[in-house]
Amino acid sequence: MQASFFCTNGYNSREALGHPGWPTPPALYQSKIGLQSLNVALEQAKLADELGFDWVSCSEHHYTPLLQTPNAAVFAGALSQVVRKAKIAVLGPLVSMNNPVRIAEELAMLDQLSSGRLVVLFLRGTPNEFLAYDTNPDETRSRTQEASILIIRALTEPQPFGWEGRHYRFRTVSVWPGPIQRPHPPMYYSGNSFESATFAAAHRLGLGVSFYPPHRVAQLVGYYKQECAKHGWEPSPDQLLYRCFAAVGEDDREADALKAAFLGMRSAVESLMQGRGAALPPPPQSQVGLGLGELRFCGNPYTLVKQVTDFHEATGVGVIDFGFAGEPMKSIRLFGTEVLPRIRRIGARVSQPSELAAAAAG
Amino acid sequence: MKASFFQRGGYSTPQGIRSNWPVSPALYEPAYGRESLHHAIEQCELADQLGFDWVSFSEHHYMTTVAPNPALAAAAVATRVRRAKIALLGHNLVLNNPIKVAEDLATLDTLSDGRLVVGFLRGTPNEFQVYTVNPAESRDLALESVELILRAWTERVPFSWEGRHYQYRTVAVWPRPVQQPYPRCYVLGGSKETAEFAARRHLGLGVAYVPFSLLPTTIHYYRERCTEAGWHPTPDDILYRGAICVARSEEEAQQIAARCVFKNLNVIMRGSINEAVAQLDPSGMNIAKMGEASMARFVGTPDMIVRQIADCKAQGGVGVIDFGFHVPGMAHNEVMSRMELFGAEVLPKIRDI
Repeated sequence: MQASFFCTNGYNSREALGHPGWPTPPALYQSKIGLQSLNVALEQAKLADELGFDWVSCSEHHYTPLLQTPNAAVFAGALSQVVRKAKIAVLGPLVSMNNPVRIAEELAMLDQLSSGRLVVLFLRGTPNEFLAYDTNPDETRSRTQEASILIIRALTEPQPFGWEGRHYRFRTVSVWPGPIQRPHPPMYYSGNSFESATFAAAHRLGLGVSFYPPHRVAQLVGYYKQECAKHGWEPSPDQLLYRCFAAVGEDDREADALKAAFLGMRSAVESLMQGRGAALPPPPQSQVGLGLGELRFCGNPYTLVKQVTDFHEATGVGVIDFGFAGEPMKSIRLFGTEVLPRIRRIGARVSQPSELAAAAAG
Repeated sequence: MKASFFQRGGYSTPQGIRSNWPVSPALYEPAYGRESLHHAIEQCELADQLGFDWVSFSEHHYMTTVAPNPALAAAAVATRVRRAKIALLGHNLVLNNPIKVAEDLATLDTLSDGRLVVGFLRGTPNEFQVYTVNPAESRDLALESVELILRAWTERVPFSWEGRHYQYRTVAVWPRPVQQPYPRCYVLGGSKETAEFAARRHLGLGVAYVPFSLLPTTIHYYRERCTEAGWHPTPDDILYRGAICVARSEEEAQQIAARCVFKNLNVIMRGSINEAVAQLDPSGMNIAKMGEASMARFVGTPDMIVRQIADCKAQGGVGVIDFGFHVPGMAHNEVMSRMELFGAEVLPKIRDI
């Protein structure tokens, strides 16, 4: 089992974070706090790297103090210099609403900057994000699919090429520099629905699922694996990625306090999803109820080890991207020293006698 | 006089790449790529140590020398360079979503602790082919982009924008710039419209590569427009970018300069693209047409360079010079040693210019 630290770069002010609706008025921003928040975020990333987290991740979000990373690749550029061992996981760019060739160029630069440590997840985005760059929400699914294929092409095609698609048209594409990892860095597709899982399987992309409860994740993973088999391949456990929130306390009492505080913040997250203040109707209740804002893992370190073990057994997921509730530095330290070493062996494959013999012989 | 180190050379091999534009990805070797970018960061760190005032970045696509997202390169360098200013000269406005530019630059100003300098760049004609932009609209597009970026940095409530080229229902950029109301900005370009716009918006002016003898006309025009707009630019408001070939002997410097001639650069376009651009751009901005012209304005021994810098100041009232040390085929070690020569024997002497 591999663990990723989700570096959110949150703005450290109760007033701004508690503001209802989206977007949050820029008037609530103070440079001093913004500066401090960013420095703290880089400190968190550095600590996670030192403690042995396998990845450090970031994500694209607009117009909010909750996650101040409107360009995940630019933030990852800074991370690449501060995080020296862990993979730089861009989870991910919102490919439905950005220029896909620009995304490909940025990913190649990042792979170069990080000496070949880049991992990327193609995200569609949530309804409020579509408003940031005025993307037609109805088109976002097909835009996400076309963009993903174009990005892969742009990173692998050896000669300049043109692209005549439904949503994107480019007369000449010739990405330079190229990626370090060949044929390309590991790529995942956001697969929170059966349709997305089908697409991921068809294009040999890993599956990224976020926030859903274990039974739903298991469903999606099972379906995805079937689809992969149809296309003649089998995903490895590290191609199954899950993002969630976690609260780790020294004891259960502390964990419960973290949970209570987190649920208090949940209204901010929900209003983010519902894009209040815009002309869009709120999404159907089922979307919001499906786990966003829930604490998937909560307890003292030993409880967490058990929960992660159970989660793996139920779903087969091989990489978990953790966003920590409460004071991140303390959580990273506690998780890194008490939980991380104990979850490494989860999902480890037991070697067969024939493999051992072959290894001994040669 | 302030000195800026223009970071070029995102990819270099010992033999150099002779190719038209766009350059085939097939020519890219990951091992060289990885090395080149780390060299680039080292050069920026050296510039910082030697006392350069700024380290600068620009944007180009599908070619070997400069990276396609300058903010990304700058983000990495900002964590390593702690004193010099981080100058984005600049995002290619025609190829970028202005809101994204505003967001990227605000992030950079925060990352660099308020050390960002911004250049607004319109871009060269071949780059319009990059993302399929209508060249005839490019000037208006770029100017509207600047207006929107400045608004996005200063408006304290979410706003909408209904422009000729850009429409956004809701804008609320987060994070914000550290410097208030926004970082120092330059509009990059030598045309009359550029000068008028910069004067009107109280922004600095940046020109690149032109012979010094052409500077007085351009800068004079800019100053007149500033006076009309009610303000007077200082030397710090006038930026010049040029290639530099400094060596112990004049002969050696001339040899380096010979490598800077346009036709040796990777901006000569492939046949059909060249024709298409030539048809679309009758004003002759097509840099492929510049043929034998050289980008190297600062050529010679350290003392000669000091005199040329003084000349640049005298002709144009320039207060910041952005020096490009890297020429095609120049190895990393050579770039570093030329920077050191400059740092030791030129930099100390130009402070009073």
